[in-house]
Amino acid sequence: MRIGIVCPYSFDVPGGVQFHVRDLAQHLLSLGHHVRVLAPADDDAALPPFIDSAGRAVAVPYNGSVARLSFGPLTAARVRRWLTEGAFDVLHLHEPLSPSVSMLALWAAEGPIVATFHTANLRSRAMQAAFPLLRPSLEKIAARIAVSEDARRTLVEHIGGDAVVVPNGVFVDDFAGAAPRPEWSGTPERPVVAFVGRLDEARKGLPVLCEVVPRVRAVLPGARFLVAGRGDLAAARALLADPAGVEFLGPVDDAAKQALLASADVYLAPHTGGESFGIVLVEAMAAGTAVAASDLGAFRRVLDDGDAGVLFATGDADAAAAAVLGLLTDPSRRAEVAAAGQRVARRYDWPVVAGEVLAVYDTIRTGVAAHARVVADRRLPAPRGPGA
Amino acid sequence: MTSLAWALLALLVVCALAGYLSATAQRLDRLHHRVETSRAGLEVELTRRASAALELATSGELDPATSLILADAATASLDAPRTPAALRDATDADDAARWAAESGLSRALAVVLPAADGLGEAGGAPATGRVGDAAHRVALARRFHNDAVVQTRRLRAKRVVRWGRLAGHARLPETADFDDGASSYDS
Repeated sequence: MRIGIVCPYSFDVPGGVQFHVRDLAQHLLSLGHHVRVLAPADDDAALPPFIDSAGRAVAVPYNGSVARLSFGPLTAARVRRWLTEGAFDVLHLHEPLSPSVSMLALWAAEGPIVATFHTANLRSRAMQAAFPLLRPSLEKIAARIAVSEDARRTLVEHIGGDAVVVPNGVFVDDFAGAAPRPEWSGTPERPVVAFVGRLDEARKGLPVLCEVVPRVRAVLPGARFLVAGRGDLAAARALLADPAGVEFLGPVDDAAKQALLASADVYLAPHTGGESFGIVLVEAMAAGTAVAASDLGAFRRVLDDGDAGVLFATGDADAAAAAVLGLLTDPSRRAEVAAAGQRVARRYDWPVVAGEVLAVYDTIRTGVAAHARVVADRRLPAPRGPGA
Repeated sequence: MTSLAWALLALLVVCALAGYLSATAQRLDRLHHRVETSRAGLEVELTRRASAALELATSGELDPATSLILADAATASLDAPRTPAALRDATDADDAARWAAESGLSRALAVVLPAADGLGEAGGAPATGRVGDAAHRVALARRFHNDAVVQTRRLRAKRVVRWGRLAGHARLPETADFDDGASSYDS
């Protein structure tokens, strides 16, 4: 099958949607499909061979964070050319509502279109103002995918219609098989709590984590908090009353992230909102680490209502500290939660998730083919009489 | 001069109105095409599911009571008229009977299939796997069809479409209201 995938965010900076697109493309390629990905990127950037650059991305504030997007007449022309040259059987757009290449591709494309909506946030003023203009384009999408039940609900509420849920994927074996690093591994006296996320986005929960640290260390003075993620380190340190016990690792690559999650005793997800899925929770579960997470709808669903992890009231540092301490002080409970997490993580393994995505492609292609047969039959001359 | 300006203004207004009507008609045409496509796809997936269910029922893998119930439900679905002409001329009562038959098959399959959590995991015999897969596709196809129907009806309810008679003689599409067994999607 010839598959064209469009990612609105630049591959120059890492992000959840970019990783999702890259991994999906890689997995579909390994199954023998023809896959091209279009995404903004600096032309000289070192990209995987299956990614085509849609041009340089510009950093613009959008949807609560600074996104690197690509737009303008030049980009639109490139998108159009890419679509023509690709001659795809299925076009799969990611985040068609962000003002970048996906929106441009949707505007220009005809034929079977699948779209995946990643964010649960559609409530911006700009979106409401521009929506009537976008609706005709959105009507072209034959199959909508939401990455979680929460994302689906927002979608249905704001745009109407319906969508199917296909979760984000994780290469579970990469995490399950990651070797722990001694310097990141915990001991009973010095247990390790890990956190991965942008430091400068408050909704990722770093301020909550900083309040959790002294509460946990009051009971377990040796507890270490390893914080990985890009952002202003000085500003992050300023949130801490006492820097002891917290180590900032800065941005980490895939291998380091896998090792960190495999080494830690507990993964803490203190996010305060705006999360539609929680891929990092699945990664931690896949690595066999017990997860303590905010009681956000998306997290509750990933953690099977608390069966595969411990939930605490969102933004409540006392509750978060209690959840972390509960896991750190009870090794058998921690092992139980981690084992349940590992079972649940299998559901998000790429072979399973990509199978779901392919089922969506096949379903809409089946419709197109069946309809083409009906139309062809209609064009045939009227039924022949006997003996004709 | 002023009359010329007025005439030009009127021409401009007429042109803008014509452009808007034509754009809306094009949108509607695209949506109608989507509804027909998704309906055709749903029909294929339903046929595939019923055939797979009948195959499972006659495979000897199930106990006789379950086999009989499943075969009955699958046959009811396969016997339903499904030629393009029959689908075009179907009345509301025909549709209701059809969806009742499909819901019946879904309920029969719910007993047979292992509890899949909406992720297409089906174990057991190959025939069971095929039915599970087909049932999952039916759920997808129904979602996509209903999505197209809801959007089409939304546009057709607009005044400009009704007063401009932009829909022509196309039948107002109806959603496919049957139990597709994908309860996890509705939770």
